[in-house]
Amino acid sequence: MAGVQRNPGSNVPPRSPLAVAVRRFRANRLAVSALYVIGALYLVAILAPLLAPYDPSAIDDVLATRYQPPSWTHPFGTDEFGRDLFSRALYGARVSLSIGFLATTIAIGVGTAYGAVAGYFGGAVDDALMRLVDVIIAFPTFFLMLMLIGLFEADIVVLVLILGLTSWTGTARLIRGEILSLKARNFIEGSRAIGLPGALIVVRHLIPNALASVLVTAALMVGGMIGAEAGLSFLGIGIRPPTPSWGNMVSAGQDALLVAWWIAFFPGSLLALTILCFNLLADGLRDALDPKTLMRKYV
Amino acid sequence: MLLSVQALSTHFALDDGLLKAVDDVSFEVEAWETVALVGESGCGKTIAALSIINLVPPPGRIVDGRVLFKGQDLARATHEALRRVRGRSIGFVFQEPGAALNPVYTVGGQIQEVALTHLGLSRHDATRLAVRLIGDVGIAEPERRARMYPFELSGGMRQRAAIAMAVSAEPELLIADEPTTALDVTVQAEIVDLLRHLQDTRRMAILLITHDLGVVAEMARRILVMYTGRIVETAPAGALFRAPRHPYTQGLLGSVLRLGAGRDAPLGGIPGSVPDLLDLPLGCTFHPRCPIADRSCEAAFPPLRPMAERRACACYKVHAN
Amino acid sequence: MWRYLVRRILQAVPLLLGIATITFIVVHLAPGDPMDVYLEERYRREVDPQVIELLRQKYGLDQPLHVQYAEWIGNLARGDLGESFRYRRPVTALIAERIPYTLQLAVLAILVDLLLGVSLGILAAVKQYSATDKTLNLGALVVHSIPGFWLALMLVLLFSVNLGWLPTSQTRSLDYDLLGWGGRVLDRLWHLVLPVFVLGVGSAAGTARYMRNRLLEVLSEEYVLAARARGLRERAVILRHALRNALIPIVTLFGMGLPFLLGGSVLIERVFAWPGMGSLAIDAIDARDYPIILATSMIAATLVVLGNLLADVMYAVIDPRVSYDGRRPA
Repeated sequence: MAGVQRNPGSNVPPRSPLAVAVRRFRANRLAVSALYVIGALYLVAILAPLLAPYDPSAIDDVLATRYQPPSWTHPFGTDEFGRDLFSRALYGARVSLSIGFLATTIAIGVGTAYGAVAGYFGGAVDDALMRLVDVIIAFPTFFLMLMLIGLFEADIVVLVLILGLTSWTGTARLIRGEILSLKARNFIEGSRAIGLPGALIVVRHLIPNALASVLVTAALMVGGMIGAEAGLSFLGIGIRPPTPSWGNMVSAGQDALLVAWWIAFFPGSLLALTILCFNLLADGLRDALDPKTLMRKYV
Repeated sequence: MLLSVQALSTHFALDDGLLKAVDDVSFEVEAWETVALVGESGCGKTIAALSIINLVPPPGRIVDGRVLFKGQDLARATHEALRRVRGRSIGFVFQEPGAALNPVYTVGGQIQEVALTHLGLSRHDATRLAVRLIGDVGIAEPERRARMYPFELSGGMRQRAAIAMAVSAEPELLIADEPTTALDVTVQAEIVDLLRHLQDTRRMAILLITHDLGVVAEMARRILVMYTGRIVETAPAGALFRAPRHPYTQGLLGSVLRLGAGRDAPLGGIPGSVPDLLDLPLGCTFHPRCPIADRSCEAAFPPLRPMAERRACACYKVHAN
Repeated sequence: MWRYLVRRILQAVPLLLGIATITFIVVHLAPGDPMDVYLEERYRREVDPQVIELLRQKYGLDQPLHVQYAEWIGNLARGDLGESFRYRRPVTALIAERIPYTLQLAVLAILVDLLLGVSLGILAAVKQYSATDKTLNLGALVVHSIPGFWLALMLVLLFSVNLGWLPTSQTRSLDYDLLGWGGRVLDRLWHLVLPVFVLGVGSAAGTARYMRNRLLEVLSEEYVLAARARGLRERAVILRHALRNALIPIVTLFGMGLPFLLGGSVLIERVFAWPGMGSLAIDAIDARDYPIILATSMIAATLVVLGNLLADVMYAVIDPRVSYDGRRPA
């Protein structure tokens, strides 16, 4: 897994794979910028109560303050109720970003556990577990979310759970695949031969190999979750008003599209920016952690 | 002189540094001659071979030197000129049997394609030529096999088909990159026979790239020994095997198991291991592992000095006599 | 080849069964009594308990679970998807009304996706590392990241509200009924432009990246190097040798893209008030109309399975290796 394929028999110790990966990542300016932007967004979201110039649900004299275009006092304008959209966007960031992160954590966690069990035990257990995965994968993820939301009362906790529990299958397959390929390789037997317990072997060898893929998947997934939550909120079945979420803000913007373009514009731009940054991050991670991007096949 | 490689250098600019896969390599191949380019895995021989037809995969590029084929410098030729030489005048056989074959087209179809491209034959004639060639390389039932896909043939047959493809336009030089390495021993012998047969009937020169000294002994008239991207010794085959001059060559030959050597004869070998091409020792790259090295070997890589009997050696410690 | 196809079809059947089963299980895990939903909370108290019991019997809700399951599967096999709580009409009929609209959208979007995505992907691969490649790559990423529903709104803002070139929503103009046959087709197409564009371009971005990576993979295969070593013309190398191999997995995009398209179309349908299956599903969720919710999810899953099956069939036709040993090569 070193960054560069060494000649067989070379006695030069490979540079630490982590160091190589970090160096390659840092060289990717887009990915690094994306990481900074993401950091800034999360920081802003955490500090929203301090940064927001207005209370996001503050309603004053509606007729006087509603539908105001962007200005110095209201950088993102005001909505139909006269609420400051910049403040709402900040609070919306809290909702969208935290949901994205939490749902991803659930998905990765469940997926890893599931895949690990399937891979480790193998045989009939593996077969049965993977059949279930096949069935779940057949449902388009978004439709699955729709169905579950429609059947269960979806408050924010249930929403996060649903988001997480519909997206773990990819990770499960990944982890299972890694374990299976580990089992197929001889050094598992070698380690057993010198008496290491099975679980320890799996953990020690599994983690470095699988970590790269899991990290890339996680980065992509956070972006995807943020998008999914936005879509669900846009449809009115995710986060419901008055709690601001970028998704339901765009939905409100649709109703007022003819008179107040800014209501839909800003939240959507923030969505696009955030998702783009996560995708760039994932790309950067993938390139940095992939040993095959340096072609040293032919020497 | 059919092929004259002069001071050829092919370098790869990688993130980790400059990799000199081929460095200041010079050699010649005469018409109808078999020359073997020998060395361990990773010494740069494949890149050298690809450099001759100017087909080095990026980020590698030929940075210096000339590759004169019948007077034309292939390292500086236009794309179209190169294209006309490849396949037509120089054939190339790859290591993996049938890796040269596209999995979604039939074997006969691909051989046909070469004939159509270079010889301007009609489709009908090209088909007949393909079938005949398949038979020439020793594949039974050529008409049936011609319609098959590569995955339907065994490794040995695929390699034969690849060879057929390489010689279909009657090239004057055949470059064979490890043609037998990926095959079973019995099949190896058959391929060696095939190559010799083709050479005789078509008067081709063969540049044989390999690390298998047994194959070299059977086929080569002259041998070039490569180490870390440079030529360290050249000699006629018999002379090299009888009396290798360069310490590396001596080590290579010494490490070959000999029948009848007895159970207690120590396994020869060269101490240490091949250095990383990105991290080469200064001076003579072999000196850390060399039994006769001293401080003067650390200055610069020794030039390839011609010696008696059409030999040459790149070692400060070996003197012409 | 036939053995392979039959095997794949047989594999699909338990999958479909699994889909139906999971749906059944999930429904029965959901909180709440279906009768509450059916009757709507406020009426429940006014209705005679005996009537409720009769309704239960009518819908088989008083039967033990495994009997309900058997009935469920049986009904499905007959194509009976139940009756909508809200509209009191067979779900099958409702879906049948909506499906043509969704299909129009999806099929055209797939066409846009493939044409745009494949050609741009090839362009990027052939000009690898050039400015064109980097721009296309970044552009694809940006487009892929933009939420479809927002992009749709922005385009509506630009092209409909400000420029007036395209309609804002709906499937037809107000004077639709007055148009002749040709006029109606054109009108429908005019209304399809924006939704299809957004759907198609969104997934084209992914297709283009996939195509580029796939083609680059193929171009680094030894047989491409060997083709060049044989002195074949560059055009023949790319078009005959590389592309033929690179395009083979594109048919799987058909299977992969379908879920994405179905999900995306739900959002697009909301933006454009397009009366397809997606908006049916959303309205059903609002109204807690269980039968429709279930039916649409299952139909979506079934379409995915069928899409994959179709992709496998096409794969078997195109790639000679599949027919031979019955397995899709890696």
